[in-house]
Amino acid sequence: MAKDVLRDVSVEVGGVDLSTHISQVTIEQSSDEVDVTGFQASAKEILAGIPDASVTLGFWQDYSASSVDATLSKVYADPDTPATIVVKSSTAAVSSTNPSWTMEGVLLNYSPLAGGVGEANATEVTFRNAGSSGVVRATA
Amino acid sequence: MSNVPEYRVVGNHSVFETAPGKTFKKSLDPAHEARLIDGGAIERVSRSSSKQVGEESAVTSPTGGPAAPEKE
Repeated sequence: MAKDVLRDVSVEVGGVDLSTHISQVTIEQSSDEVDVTGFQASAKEILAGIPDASVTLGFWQDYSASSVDATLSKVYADPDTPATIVVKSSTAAVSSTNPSWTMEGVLLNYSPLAGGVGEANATEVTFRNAGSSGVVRATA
Repeated sequence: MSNVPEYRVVGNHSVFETAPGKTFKKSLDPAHEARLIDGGAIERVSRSSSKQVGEESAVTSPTGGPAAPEKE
């Protein structure tokens, strides 16, 4: 697989393609570390606990209809309806060399406006996993 | 005829890989549909085959047919 420079990343939030307003993306997957070390062990015995996941996106804010704030504020206001987040490293079709990562996420924090004078209007949000599957990687 | 509703992308962003101005057919749960319509991303073009725009929401049953009307 060739090395890659992120230029053409695709991000959908609840079906809406907001890629052109996103400058940063991080998919995180982790599992709790469960220590099950017993007496007389010569080393710690660690098991993987319950997995967790999140997707953090850095947005250039846009208050137009259907754009960043219209999408994120709806997701934040309705935590009972997780949004499907789909990320691909390229807009090309999903394949073994262009996998997609999908997660059902909720927004527990959202800053619709944050910044100082002269700065670009930007906001960063972290979608927390709200589905039972966490982040699902697909190649087809 | 299909009962899958049709939507037009009305904002400036693609929705479900459908470009602005184009239409797509998809079964959306009511909350997701409301979120996209309220957010100005899509508008409904058609309801189920037997209903007209302006009638009650065209919720479909798991079998694909129209669901029983909700009680007020």
